[in-house]
Parts: sequence; C-alpha cells; structure tokens
Amino acid sequence: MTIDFILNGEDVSMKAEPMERLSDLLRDRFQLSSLMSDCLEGRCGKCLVFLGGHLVNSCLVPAFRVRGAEIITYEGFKSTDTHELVHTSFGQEGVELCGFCDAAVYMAAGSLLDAAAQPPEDTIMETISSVYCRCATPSATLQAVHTAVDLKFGGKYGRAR
Amino acid sequence: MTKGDRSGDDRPVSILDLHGIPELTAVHRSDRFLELGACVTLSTILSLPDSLALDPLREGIRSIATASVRNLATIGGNVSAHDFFMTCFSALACMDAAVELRDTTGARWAGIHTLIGEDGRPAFPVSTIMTRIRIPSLHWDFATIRRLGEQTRGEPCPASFSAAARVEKGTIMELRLVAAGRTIVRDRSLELSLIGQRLPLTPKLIETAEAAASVMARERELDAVRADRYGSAVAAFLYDMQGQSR
Amino acid sequence: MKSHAHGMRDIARLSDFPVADALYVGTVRSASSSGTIVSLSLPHLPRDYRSITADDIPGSRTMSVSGADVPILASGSVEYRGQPVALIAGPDRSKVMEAVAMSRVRLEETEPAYSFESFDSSRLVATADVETGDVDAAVAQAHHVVAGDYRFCPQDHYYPEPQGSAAAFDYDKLVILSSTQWPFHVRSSVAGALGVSPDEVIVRSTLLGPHLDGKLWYPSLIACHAALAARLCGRPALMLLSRVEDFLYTTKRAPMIASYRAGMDEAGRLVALDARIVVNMGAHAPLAAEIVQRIVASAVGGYSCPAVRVNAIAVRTNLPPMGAFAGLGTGPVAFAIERLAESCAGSIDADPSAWRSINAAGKGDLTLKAALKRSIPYDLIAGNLLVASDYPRKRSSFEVIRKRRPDPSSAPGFGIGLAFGHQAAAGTFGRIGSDAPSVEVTLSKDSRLLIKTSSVPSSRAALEIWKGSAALSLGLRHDAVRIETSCTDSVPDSGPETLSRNIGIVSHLLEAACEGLRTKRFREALPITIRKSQRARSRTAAPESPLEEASWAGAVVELQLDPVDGSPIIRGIWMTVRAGRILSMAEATRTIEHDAAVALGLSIGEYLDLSHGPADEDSIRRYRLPRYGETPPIHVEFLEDETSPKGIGELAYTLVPAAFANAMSQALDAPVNEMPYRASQPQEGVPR
Repeated sequence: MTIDFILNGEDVSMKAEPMERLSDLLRDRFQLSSLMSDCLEGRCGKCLVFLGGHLVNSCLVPAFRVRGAEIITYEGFKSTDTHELVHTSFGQEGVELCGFCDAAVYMAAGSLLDAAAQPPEDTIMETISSVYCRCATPSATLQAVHTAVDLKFGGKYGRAR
Repeated sequence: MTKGDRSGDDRPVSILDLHGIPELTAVHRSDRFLELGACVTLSTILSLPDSLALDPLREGIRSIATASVRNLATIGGNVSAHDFFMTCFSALACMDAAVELRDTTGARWAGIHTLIGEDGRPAFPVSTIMTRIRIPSLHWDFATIRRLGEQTRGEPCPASFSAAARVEKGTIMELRLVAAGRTIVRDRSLELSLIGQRLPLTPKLIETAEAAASVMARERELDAVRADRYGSAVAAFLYDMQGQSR
Repeated sequence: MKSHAHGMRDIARLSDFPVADALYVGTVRSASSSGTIVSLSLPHLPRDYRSITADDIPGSRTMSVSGADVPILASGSVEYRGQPVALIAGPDRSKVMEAVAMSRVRLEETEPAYSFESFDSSRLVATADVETGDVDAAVAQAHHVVAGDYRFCPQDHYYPEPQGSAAAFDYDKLVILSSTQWPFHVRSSVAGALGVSPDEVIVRSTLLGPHLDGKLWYPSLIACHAALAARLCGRPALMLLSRVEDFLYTTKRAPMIASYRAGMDEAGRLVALDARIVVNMGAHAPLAAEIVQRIVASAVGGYSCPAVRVNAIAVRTNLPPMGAFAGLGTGPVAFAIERLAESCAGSIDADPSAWRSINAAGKGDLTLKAALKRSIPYDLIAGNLLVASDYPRKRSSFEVIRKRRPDPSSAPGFGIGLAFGHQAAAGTFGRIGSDAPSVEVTLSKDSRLLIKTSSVPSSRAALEIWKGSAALSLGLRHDAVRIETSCTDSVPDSGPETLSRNIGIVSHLLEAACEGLRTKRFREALPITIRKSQRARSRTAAPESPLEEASWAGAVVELQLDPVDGSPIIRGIWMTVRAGRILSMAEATRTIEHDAAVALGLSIGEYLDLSHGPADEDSIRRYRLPRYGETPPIHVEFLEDETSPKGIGELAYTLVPAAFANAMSQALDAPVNEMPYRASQPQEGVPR
C-alpha cells in the first residue's frame, strides 16, 4: 500500500506492507540511522520517535498507522531549540551515553520539555525509563534531565530565567 | 479504511484503522460516569485530572510497560486480550465498569463481567467490537492494584490484584476484591461477609479472609505462589483500610 | 581487485553499515542440542544468493580461543542448539531470513547433557587447584564448622547492540568491522578461516558500549561468517544478529555452583577452608582455563586461612558456549565466599564486620601459597563504610525485629548486608598465542603526540584521562595528543580490553612509553617512536599473591521487604573503594555508581533458567531489565593512596550481589544462597 505522511517536516510517500514495522521502514527506506531496530517489542526504547507529537516505540507501530501522521525522528529533533537545551544540559552535567541510546534518551528528555507545564517528578522518571541501556548512570542522566527541565521551566521555585 | 491499496504482490489490502475513528478516541465526562473510547491510549487516561476518581485504574496503568508504550497502548486493547486478563481488566472489574459492544445486531452496553466466561477465562464475544468503556463516577475510600507473583514486566501471563472499598461511619459499605490472570478470581461471598463489618476488623477475621481468598484463587487455577500472594494482598488491603500494616 | 570498503572508516556502529551493495548473512542453526549431522537441506536459492557450509571454508574450520577449538560452521556433529551449521547470503534481508527459516538440519540425535552438577570425566575440560596445609585434619579439629552451597545462574550481557560484523575487500585486503574487545583475535581468526596471512586482514573496531565482557571472543566467530560471505560472494557482507538470536545463542555468564566448608577456632578465626567450585562452560568451553584459574585465585577472598583446599572444575555441556561476565568468574565466587563469611559469623553469633576484621589477611599471611607484603585494608575500608551506611546500628535494629517476630510472615522484614572483596590486577590474560601486549607512542616535530593501542577505552572520559596524563608528562597541550582509532593495521596488539587491563596494563605501558619519550626527546631528532611491551613475569621470580596488587572495596545494601509479596525494596547502596591513585574522581565515582546499579539489577531480576536445557523465546520476555525508577540512592567513597591506579570495573559486580544476598537473608530470616534472587522462588520465610 502507499502511505503518505510527514517525516521530519517533509511530505513523503512510501510503498509498504501494512504490517511492516515503522522502525525498519525509517531505517531502511529513509536511512534514518539514529533509531535502532533492536528488541522489536517496546522494551529497549532505542527506536523512539514522535508520532503525532507523542513519544512512541516505532518498532510497535505498523506502517498503515502512520498514514497522514506526522513523525519526527532524532534527525528532525536535532535541529530544534529543545534539542539544544537537552544537549547543553547533558554536556553541563558531564553525562556520556554509549552512542547507541543517545538519540532515544535525548528524545525522551525532549518530550518532557515540550509539555505545557513543568512535568512532575514521577513523569520525568517514567518518561526517561522508556529507554533501557546498560550505559547510563541513572543519577547522572536524571540530573541532566532535571537541569534541562529547570532551564526550560524556570527552576525549582518557578522563577523565570 | 483503505481503498484501492495493494500489497507488494498486488493483492488488495483491507485495513480498518480504528485510530482514525473519532468516537473511539473520545473521552466524555459527566456527573455519573466517565466514558472512554476503546482506542483512548493509556497515557491519555493518566493525563486526566486527578480530581477524577480513577484509582485503581490509574495506578494499574502506571505499572504497565513504559511511558512510550503507554502512548500507543489502548484501554480497549488491554481489556480485550484473549489469552488472559490484563491489568486494566481487574481494575475496571473493581470499578463496576461497563463496555459498549457492537455487532451486526447493533450496540449494547453490558457489565464488564460479561467478558468473563463461565470458566473464569476471557470470553470476548465473536464478531463483536468494543467501542466504549464506561466507568461510574463512584468515590472509593480505598483502592489499590498490584501485580501478583514476580514483579516482572513482560512476564508471560501476568496476574494482578485490584481492590476497592467504601466506608461510611466506620462500616464497610462496599467492597471489591479481584485477582485477574488467566482466570478471574472474585469471591462475592467473601466480599459480602465483610460488607457491613465495622472497622477495625479483628486479626482473626482478616486471617480468615486471607485463607478464603487463597483457596478460591487455587480453585480458579491461579498457581500456588500467586494464590498465596492474592491472599496476602487481600489481608494487606484490609489492614490498610484501618490504617494498620501487617 | 576492487575496493568495496569505501566509507567503512567512518562507520561507528555496525547497524549503520551501508547496505546498498552489501549482502545480508543469515545463519542456519541446529535445532537440537546434540547429535550427528545426517543431512542439511537448503531451499533453492535465487541468483545472487548462496549458501556456505563448512566444506566451503578455505582455511581452518575451527578458530582457537584460549586453547579451545570452536567450529566456525558445524561439520559432522553439533554440540548445542543454535550452533551455526550453514550461512545464507543475499541482497535482501527478508529473503535471506525466509531461506534460513526453510532450511533444515537433520540430526541423528544423542542425549544432550545440560547438567554440571553431575558429570563424567569426558566432560571435564579444565581444572585448577590450590592446596595448603591439611584441610581435613584442620576441619576435624575445628571448633565450629560451617558449610554451604552457593549458586550463580546464567545471565545475559544485554549490551546495547547485538553481535555482528561486516566485511568488505579493500583491494587485496579484507576489512572487517567488528564490535569487539579483542580486535587482534578477530584478525587471527578470520585469517585462519580464510587461509591467509593475518597481514591480509584489517580489523576496525566499531562502538562497543557497555559489554560486561560479552564481546570478548564471540565477535570473532561472527566476523569469520561475514568474512566467508564476503570472500566467497565477492561483495561486502553484513551479519547482524537479532536481539533474540543474540540472547539465545551467544555467550552468557557461566553458571556456577560453589560448595564450601569452613572450620573455625573458638574465636571464630578460620583454620580451614575447603571449596569445590564447578562452572558450566557450555559447548566447546573456551576460556575455561582462565576462568578456573581466576576462580581459584579469588576463592578465599581477602581472608587468612592456614589450611586451604580449592578445586575449580570447568565442565562442558550441550548448552551454547558460556563465558566471561564482568570479571571472568570472580563475581560468583565472591558471592559464595561472602555468603559463607556471613554464615560463619552467624554460627558463632558474631558481628559480620567483626568476623571479617579478625579474619582479614595480614602482612606475611600466606594467601594462595605466597606471603602478603601488605595487609588487606579491611579495617580501613570498613571504618568508613560502616559509618557512612550506619550499618552497625541498623543491623542491630533489624536483628531485634528478626528475632522478635513470631514468624517471618507476620511482619515485614528489614535487612542490611555487608560484603568485602577485591579486584585482582590484570596481567594474567591476553598473552595466549599472541605477542606481548604493546603500546606505541610517536612524538612529531610539531610537538604532537600520537598514541597507538588496540585496547582503546570506549569511554570518552577515560580517553581524556589518557590524553591528559600523556600531555602532562611531556609538557604538551591537551589537544596535541591524539589516540589512533583501533585498527589492526595501524596499532600494536595490546591484548583484549577486559579485566581493567586498560588501567592495569595499557596505562602503565603508556606511562612507560611517555617516560621513554621524555628521556629521548632532547637527545634524538624528532619524530621519535617508542614502543613498550609487557614483559612476562620471570619464572624464577618469587611467587606473588594474586591479592598483592588488587583493588579493594566494601559494599553495604539496605532493604526492606514488601509486606504483601516479600519482594525487596532497596533503600540504599554504599560502596567504599581503595584502588590506588584515582586519575579522575568524577569518572571513577560515576563508574562505581553505574556498576552498582547494574549489579543490583543483575541480583534481582535478570534470571535465565538453563537447568533443563537451552533458552527459548519466552526466556527473553521473562528476563527483567531494571529501569531508572528502581535505582536506589547509591553512595560512593574512595580512599586514595599513592600506589599506582588499579582497576575498579569489577568491584560492584563482585560485591553488590553478595551484600544484597546478605541483606535478604537477614530480612527473610532464611539463607539466600542463589543469585539472582527470585521472589517467586520457594523460600522459607516469604510472607504468605
């Protein structure tokens, strides 16, 4: 079937079987290598993309589902101010990821910054937990995310920066 | 619905994409109930205002998968699993939820218990789709949900325990105790034996309830570990209600 | 000859290998665990697709891993379910996978052997022993005798990228991309399989990520497969295992059973220690000799005991090959000895820390046939650790709870557990069949330094430490120091990247090389190149205790049990470490904290049952990986001294499981002698 959708801000079209995985299609057809098609069951999170503004595991999304939808991968996310904020925060905290999960962790952090209001602590924890990787020092990663959240939403006491 | 699409080997493709149907993703609130379209995602439910009394459902959803998976998973999908009852089912059973079922004869509302077969196993009617879930806007003074057995995500055939209670002037007015896995375990006679009791319940009564729950669970083919955990969970809930811990 | 290797230099991850002209390689595997191959039926393959069997291998049909011969493709017989029997290569991945699924390996099956608890001598592949004094006599005369059996189950490394390799010809040389800890082993294995000189094979290392020693030798097997496809098909070839394939068929932590017997005098001092440790190495059993040797070297922990008998046995079974896991066998042994220590203390109603203090080996004590030159720093470490964790007060309180409740199910349990141990110095591994590990540095005319080693740390922070240290020693700008990307045609063989060899060996070689440059730079014309190699220890040198250059640490884990299902809720982890001079406190702290979090996950949920046979796809779904929200507060402290920097990469993996088990044993009022802990495992004392 022919599937038209918006990918990283551009109108695209692809022919695909209805149940083909979005993660495979994005990697193979569009050479979007930021996401990895690894566990194929929503466990590792290394295939995270934004689908209609929501952070999802693209390995669980069948091709037919994206018809008419807007998808943003890390390649598109990289050029946003939100990414800059996340990247700055991770650098500031000296957090080094392994090179396999970086895109997913950044996207997860970015999804928190795109919320309308400062996300509560449990939402931050749950969102970042969407990515599993042995490389992360949990406190360091969470600190970097908190730094990004503070920079975006004005810090612990709500003062604007 | 796709029209005119063809697969790679030129066979016609027919896909009914339910996500495209507005009615199935609608959330409707009234004084009496909350109605969720079957394709409402689990994360959408989590984002509903805290003022809506949605526990144990909300707490149960939080224990499912990860945040990104919950952005895809739907309440309808969780409730209509064929091999075992998933976490949301036990919570909704506690909350006296109803489901709207549609088939060729039309639409009808039915209690969620109609999705349970006589053998206690899932019995989703054939040639039927579930379109909405209705949760009564009832306030529960105590509600809980937890997994039984290993706290393992991705565990094949997980089981969960849900409980809810309403107390007035120190008396248990309403009580629900549900375990759900491959089968549903709900002992209405146990619930009724506790309804009307004044708090605090005696340790002996709680112990009796725990034992009865475990026995019932074993009869309903929950494995021994989960059956015992169910009993423990019942006891812990009863103690929680009176502000005590085991 | 053409070059197909254009662009391979820039590939960081195997999964990014450009597939435009490449072939995908799939593996036809044995569906049974043991038997003689009767026939191999492959589907009819279209043009541009081909199959490869052992008969097609131009060179050696096996690759050597530390004395074990691992078949590249099975020929004649199979020894484990999933053993590669043939390859199918072709341009379309889904068609390759379809062809693999249609292939059939027919075997005349024989009874597989999965058990390592009972075995005959034909399955014994390596042993190591140490014996001092008369253990039986000492036990007979001991005032107290404590015995216990301790088990550690197999576990998966779950590295971030499943195993894979890519191969392409660059004119007359074959370039291999491999995510490997041991690039020169990949080179020699591929050269052997192709029947060519090692100079004709170039191995470029791709991103490794956190590997827990799961990419030590298995990448060489995958590389052989990719290389065969590239050679026989004349096109670039990519083999990338799926996560499921990787989980089912690649190496796992070798399961272990340790049976200990300890005799103590009236004061609780060890007078005899008797240990029999059996490790299941799976099929082919590579690294068996190294693992049993390291087991023996760790089996007494840091304790002094005049009569010691340790017998370590590696057994071959019909499970997939087992192997290294964050320390090559030392973690499970440390679990055993620290559980035994706790039982010894408990048997005489002694405080566990006090027991360890009186038994810690001192200067002059014979440990494993060599006298210690320095005391084990138990009191120094414990002094800080126990204060930081408030261990003494909490333990007493929890003991009161444990003793006062009528039965464990009547009240929630609390526990705090202590473990103490070491990480032995690197240096006994990686010399097999290769030149002495080497490092090369070159100072150019424009005062730039180039460092070459095949053992490049995957951490950017560690790289910066090396660069900073080299720059400082030569008075150079930091940005004037470059580390060559690990590629076998341009760097010397520094051996495998494991067992903290980077800090223990490569760093020292680097320091020595920079020292050499310092003495020559103003006497000789630039550029100057210095190469340093590790010399083998002289056979006539006095034997040295394996504990001598070790790093030491203590760990405390505090937990409480969920009142309903008894599952552990971890309230905190504390670690105090003494590892010589710390090159970067921030990096070292982060490493220990990270390792402690992973080690905790390995203690609780990462359970893989291979006792009845190989894993199936349900096993991967049951394999529970920890999430951020489950990480407790982790407190790390270093006690620095001026001795040379020592490795710390195994300490948390060694000690956190033991401390956790000790805490659980207190909370449950029942011994927890098997790792990982499973809440559903029948345990006495679980709340019912």
